[in-house]
Amino acid sequence: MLFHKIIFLFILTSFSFSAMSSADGQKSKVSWQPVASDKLIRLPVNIIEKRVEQDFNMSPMASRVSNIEKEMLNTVNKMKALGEQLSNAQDEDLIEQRHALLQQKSHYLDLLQESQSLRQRALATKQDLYLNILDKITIQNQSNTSSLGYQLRQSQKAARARMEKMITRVDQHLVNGGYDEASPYATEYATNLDKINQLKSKISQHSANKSPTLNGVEVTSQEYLRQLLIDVSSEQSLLDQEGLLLSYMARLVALDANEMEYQMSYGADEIEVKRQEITSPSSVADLFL
Amino acid sequence: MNTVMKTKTIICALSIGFLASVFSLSVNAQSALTLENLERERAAMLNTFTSDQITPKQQQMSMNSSYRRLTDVERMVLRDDRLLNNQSAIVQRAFQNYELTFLIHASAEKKLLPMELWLSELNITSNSILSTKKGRR
Repeated sequence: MLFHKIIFLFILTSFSFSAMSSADGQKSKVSWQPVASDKLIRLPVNIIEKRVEQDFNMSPMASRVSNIEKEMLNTVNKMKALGEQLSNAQDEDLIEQRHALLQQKSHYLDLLQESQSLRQRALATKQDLYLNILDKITIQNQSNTSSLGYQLRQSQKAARARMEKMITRVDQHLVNGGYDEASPYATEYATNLDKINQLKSKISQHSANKSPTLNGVEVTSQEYLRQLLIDVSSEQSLLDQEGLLLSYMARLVALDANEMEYQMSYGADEIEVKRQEITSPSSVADLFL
Repeated sequence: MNTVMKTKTIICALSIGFLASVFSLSVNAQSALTLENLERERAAMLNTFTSDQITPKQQQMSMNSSYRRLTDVERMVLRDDRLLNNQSAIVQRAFQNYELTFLIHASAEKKLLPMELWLSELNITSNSILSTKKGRR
């Protein structure tokens, strides 16, 4: 039993902070592969964000992250219970409890590492996806502004503005020419325009047609996507920091395991090696005199 | 129940989309019609203006009537988004030459009579007419 524990502790010590390869085996099993399809790009950008989140939540990767989270919570509870038992344990029981606690800590770190690796991959995928969408929207906008249709629209807009300024003057000219009543087209157009404006106002206030907002300010799709990319980057840097935290935790577990291994091999009380006392010749020289 | 509702919603959305596409197809088919009407009406007005077959009074009455019709048709063209679907040279030229295409509103802008504007845009002056000679090309 003791021999097994020493073997386990030895393995735990060698775990230290280079257990990264263990999560690689899971890569092929849990995946999330979103695509920046044309259908997705046509959606309002705030809906794109929701759709991406929804897609991730339905992926095997998200369900694995969720399972890990539950398992980690379970492990934390076990660690807490073992910590309480440890304060009352003695002698052989104490070693058993410490050993169990170290096992739980090691398991927790394995889970944490896997969860981190998955979250890093999810963020990288999300970043690639948002970059892809941003590129496509930029290309689409560029082609829209350089196309013949766009130029024609601009010409029509300018011409319409010139006409709107002259409507009153032309109508006045018509009145002066003896046409007191507006033409049937003008009358009908005015009636319809009123209704159209009411409908347009209703549409602009509709919740499904709201522009994306950041801190209450309406922004363009590109601005919103840039903000999403900044959010992803900030999450990534926080994950890097958590990685550092993980490595220190792993180091501490390794040191605990190391200490325990020494204690079990060389005794609990004295880790320091006692020097054998050697008789100095000078102390016995007197005997030869 | 939820699935039935969902299916109904999808069918409804699809049918609305289909109707919209059918509408846009029929709209595209006659996208430059307003502009053609404008061209015809303006040509008729110019014809009346240059005609020597009618009396000045008849000419004035006909011009007044054309003025009103052209006012409406010009507004129709300028408000017609269907023209944007038709990127032909005629449509592009119509917007490039605002003064000549939208004679009524452009003349009001410059405080001229429509025919005065038309002549000035084409650089037709009394002197240029008087200096012309009959001959073969």
